[in-house]
Amino acid sequence: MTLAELQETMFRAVTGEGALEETAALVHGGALEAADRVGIYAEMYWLRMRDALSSDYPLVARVLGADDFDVLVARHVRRQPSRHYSLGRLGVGLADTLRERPMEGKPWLADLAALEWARAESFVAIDAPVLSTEELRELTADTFTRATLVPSPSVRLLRLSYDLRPLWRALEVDGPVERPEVPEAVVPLVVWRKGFQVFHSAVSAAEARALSGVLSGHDMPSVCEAFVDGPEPVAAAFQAIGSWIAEGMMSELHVEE
Amino acid sequence: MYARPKLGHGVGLRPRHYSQFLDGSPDIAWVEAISENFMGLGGRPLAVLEKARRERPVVLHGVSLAVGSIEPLSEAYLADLAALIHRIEPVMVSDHLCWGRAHDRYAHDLLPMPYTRVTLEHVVERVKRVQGRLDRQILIENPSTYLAFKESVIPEAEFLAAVAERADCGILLDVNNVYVSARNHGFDPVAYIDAVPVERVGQFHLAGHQDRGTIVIDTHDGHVVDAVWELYRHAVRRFGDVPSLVEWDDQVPELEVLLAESRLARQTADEVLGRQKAFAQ
Repeated sequence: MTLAELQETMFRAVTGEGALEETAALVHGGALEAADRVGIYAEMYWLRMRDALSSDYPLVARVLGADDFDVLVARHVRRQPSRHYSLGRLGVGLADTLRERPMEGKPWLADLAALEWARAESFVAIDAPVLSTEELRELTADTFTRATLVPSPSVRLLRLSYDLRPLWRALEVDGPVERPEVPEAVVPLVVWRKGFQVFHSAVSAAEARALSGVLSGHDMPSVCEAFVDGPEPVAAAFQAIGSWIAEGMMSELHVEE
Repeated sequence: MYARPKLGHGVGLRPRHYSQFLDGSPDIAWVEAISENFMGLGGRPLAVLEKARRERPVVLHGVSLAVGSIEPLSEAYLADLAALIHRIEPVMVSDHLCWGRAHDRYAHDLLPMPYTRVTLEHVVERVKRVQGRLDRQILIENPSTYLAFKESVIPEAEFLAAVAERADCGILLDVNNVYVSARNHGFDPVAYIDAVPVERVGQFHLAGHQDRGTIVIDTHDGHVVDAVWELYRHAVRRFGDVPSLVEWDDQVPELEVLLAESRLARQTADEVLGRQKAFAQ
């Protein structure tokens, strides 16, 4: 057997895609049967996957309870096995796993997972400079049209189907879990890190459009257009941009020459 | 030859103790950081590591290099590791004699190698490539294993020594892993240590394990047991003053408990080395 074949066989056994016996035939037994020795690695694999996901999704894990969370872990790892060197990336797409096959009676769990993951990513996002209000004030009418805001790598914009705010507050104080309401429109939430602390907050549809423009690299005039349908669009735009900067959500201001 | 630095005794830098390293300066000579927990990331974890580095030496210890995998080495992994090395300037960089990657997927485990002439060539070649890419020597650690392949023809200690000699890398000798594997496979742990070349060993690891009777599991979840302390004494007698780390990764205790375990390791080494000095005089 080649090294490639051996690793293929054992990898399948460890990840539960193949029988333990195929690898067991390749190894010594002794005080412990060969299959039990291979089984130790298979058991540890699932424990490691579960620990990694429960670390990034403590609220999803708490809402589901141990048995149902194990079911979710198995579904997610089968759907999206780890392709990144860090176990910290295993949680990418758990919300999609939940959307594809919702847990019974908890269709809102995908939104909760999306929020937890956005917060987890924001917490360890790479560091970047923080834009100051003074730099914004230096813009002139001319440079404004050529300016682009660069968001902090920690900023995430979510569009959720459920209003998670009451549920989040309840979970923070270990309160009872009640099904979140489905509002008439999607709930835009922004997630960001200020210093070492991660925050999330609901924003208006107009601010969400503007922030989406910033995240897509649009210039300042395009970003401000998001507020044009509301009352006092100029004031609304500058209030939103001012609050982003005050919260440390913006990293740089580029002015095209 | 591996130029062993004089560091003394250290502990692993783990999330439970981040606040103490960020807000204070714990009395410890050096710390080990798990490379993958910081590669390509920022925020509080990196701030903790950078502050720890400003105050004391740091070593980087990896778990995902997969130096024994048949899969090509991950250039993305090596690029991120090189960037972290550039930023932290660790005094040592290490990973394990194992594999854990296949079909572009990770098992996130230190899976055992069959020890054959073919796998030796494979590992030597890859360690050389990693060192070339990182432009520095690395240390390779002996893993704890729960199975041994029938096709293995080279004892693990000899395999490790050959890798170190031919790839010109260092050895991270995990004394607890020697004990765990010796119990699980029925070899003599003292003979294992005696087969490891003195000039290649750059670091020792110590840790707790769980003895389940028919198998011993390397859990890193408790105090170092007496049998491992005894083996550590033997290792210190053979290798001398080697930087030693206490690993505690599960059921992580208060920092003071971990530091006390590290002080115990230092006292143990000092006793052995002091006795050797007394005999020499």
